[in-house]
Amino acid sequence: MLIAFASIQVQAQKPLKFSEPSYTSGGANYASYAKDKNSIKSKIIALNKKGIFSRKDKFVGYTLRLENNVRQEQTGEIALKVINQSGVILYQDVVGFSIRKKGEFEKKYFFDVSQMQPGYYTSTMSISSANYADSVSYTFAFEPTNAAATVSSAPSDFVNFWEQARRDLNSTRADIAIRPRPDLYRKNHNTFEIEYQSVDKAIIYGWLTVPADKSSHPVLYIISDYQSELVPEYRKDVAVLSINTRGTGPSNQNYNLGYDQLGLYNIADRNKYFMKGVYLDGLRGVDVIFQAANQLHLDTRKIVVQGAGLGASVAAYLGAIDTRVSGVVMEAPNFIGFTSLLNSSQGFPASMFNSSIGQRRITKDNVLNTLEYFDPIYFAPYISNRILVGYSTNNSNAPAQNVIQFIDQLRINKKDKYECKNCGNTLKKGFYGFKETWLKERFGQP
Amino acid sequence: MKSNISKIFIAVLLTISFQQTVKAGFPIGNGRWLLAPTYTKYHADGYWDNTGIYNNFANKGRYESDYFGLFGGVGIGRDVDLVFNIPYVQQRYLENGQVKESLSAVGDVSVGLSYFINHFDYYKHLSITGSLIFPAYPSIEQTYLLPGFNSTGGEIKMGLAGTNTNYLKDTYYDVEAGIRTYFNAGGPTMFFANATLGVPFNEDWKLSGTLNLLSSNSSTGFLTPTNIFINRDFSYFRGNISLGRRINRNITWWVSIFRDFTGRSIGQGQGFSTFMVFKF
Repeated sequence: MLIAFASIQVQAQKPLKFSEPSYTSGGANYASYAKDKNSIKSKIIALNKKGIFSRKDKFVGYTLRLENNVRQEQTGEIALKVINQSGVILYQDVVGFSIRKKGEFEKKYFFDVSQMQPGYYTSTMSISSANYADSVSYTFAFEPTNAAATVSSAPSDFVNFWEQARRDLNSTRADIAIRPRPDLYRKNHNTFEIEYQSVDKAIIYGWLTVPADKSSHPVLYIISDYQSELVPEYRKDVAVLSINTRGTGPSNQNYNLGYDQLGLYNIADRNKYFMKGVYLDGLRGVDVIFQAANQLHLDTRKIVVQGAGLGASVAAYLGAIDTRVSGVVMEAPNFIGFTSLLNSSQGFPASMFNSSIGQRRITKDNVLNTLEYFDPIYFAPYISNRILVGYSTNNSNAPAQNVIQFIDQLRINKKDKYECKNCGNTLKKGFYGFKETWLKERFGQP
Repeated sequence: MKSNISKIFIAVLLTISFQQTVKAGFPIGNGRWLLAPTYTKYHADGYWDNTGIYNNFANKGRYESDYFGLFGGVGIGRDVDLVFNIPYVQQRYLENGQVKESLSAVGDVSVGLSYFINHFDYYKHLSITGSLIFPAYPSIEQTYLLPGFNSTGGEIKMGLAGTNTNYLKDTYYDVEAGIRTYFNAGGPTMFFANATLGVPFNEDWKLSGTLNLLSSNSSTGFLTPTNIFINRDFSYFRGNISLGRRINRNITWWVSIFRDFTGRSIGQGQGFSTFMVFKF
């Protein structure tokens, strides 16, 4: 039985239709995204373990199960909203529920395959009763590899902007300091504290660890995620440079801003915007490697730059702009595909950017006009190095489709992607295991 | 003559037992090489008969062998390795200190392909290896010291190797089981299982222990005049402890000792090995 629904906004896609299945498929993948409050426990039981469906599947969807944990009947309602990767609301409805004491309630959300377009979908259920209020979201994909890329073109002065940015950096004194920290020496590693100056008088701090033997060491260059401080990392046979970009850890002079403020710093002016500084902080870090190379036996032919989250975007920038870098690792990028990000994601950083709209006469166009200069998707065609991208299919901060679009825009032949199925906002052990193998290949180490 | 039958086929057995310590169950890596030259000194002063009862060789008999092997591999891709082994063995049988018989020859050369069926989370690897075995020695030697079964053969084995990341953190294991058969009327067909646990002490030193179990079976014990001395029905259980020292990022040097604990129709062997592992 097909139930058509009324209030749909249709833009890029046909509306989804619900269908009531005549049977219950026994997909037994349990994923809970709600807080386990005492009164109600919610679970999402996916029809398909990986959350990735194809035309071969009869039904696409999941079951929402609510367990009443209190000794009284609870009634309430579930407000459902389904959006696609462009943020278009495809369906919304409200259903009531009533659960007897210690009982269960199940609601099947099944979508008719014939109505679905390839891509990623996020459905959010706001559950409320007298005792309980929370929302659960579930992201699933339908034939994601066939999804058409919705990439718009880069700004016309994109290349000029970044050439000018590089000149800005070059005209800024570097004042690189590499200070031994014997108190942090380990048996097989020496530790150095790094300090340098970047654009807008930002003082950037970081760490360099170098194996103590005299052979030549490849360099893993790690760039911090958004306000996520890096500490010295020690690796066998590899030197590691860890840089905390502006606003993160000790590099917060002049940028000592709150978590939801830092990313909005000068957002109306792309030439002074926070992310421009972050990218250039990352670029100057490569100079540190070259300055230290002779004395500390660093192999400058083998520099792999790695970043997670915002750091992944910086890594993509370096891969595109700096020929001294020989490999790029991007872990769960979330500052990516800004146009669709702001439309479709309720997580960070979309929530931060969206919160700025309307304040101080800033419009959404203002925000997007700045952010498009920093979108890794536009750097992708310029990346000529080996690259590894790890992402999760149901990351609620950055839809996987944004990362897939980035990968599609890469022009190099040999690109490695690691798709972590249903991993939420983190990557699992398998990615890190593969990354070790991948790094050994880049570093030419057994 | 019974005692003579029981002391042969050492070379082929040594080949099987040492590869584990080289971490052969782990992928070599795309485009990388692994070479492991090895030397093993083996001797047996007695044997287990076909009921598993130990006897000394008659007349203070002693079997000795010096085994020189070159095991190696190349990573053809992330999932495929080409592996090979070339043994050269010098064997002697002595009675009352006098050499009664000796033979020096290249043994069974093996070449195979390993395919990694699943890397799981890349901390453990499931592989299947198929190899062909070619005898590289003169086929008409009238001696029971032949270093193989004088026949081409094939081997297939499954292996699971990995590094522990939760319990026994940083230790590694390599377990494998397989079957080897020789393409002639008398076989034999061998079943083997090996298990290794390795414990790194620090970046430079590691210790590993290996247990080997091998059972060789044949429907026809003796077949032709040329291999009349060949023993095809036997089994043994061997233990091995190895200590490894990392020389640099490409070279590790190992020394190990081994001993056979129980067996059937086979010499009670013991000895030591030393080998270098080059990875580049």
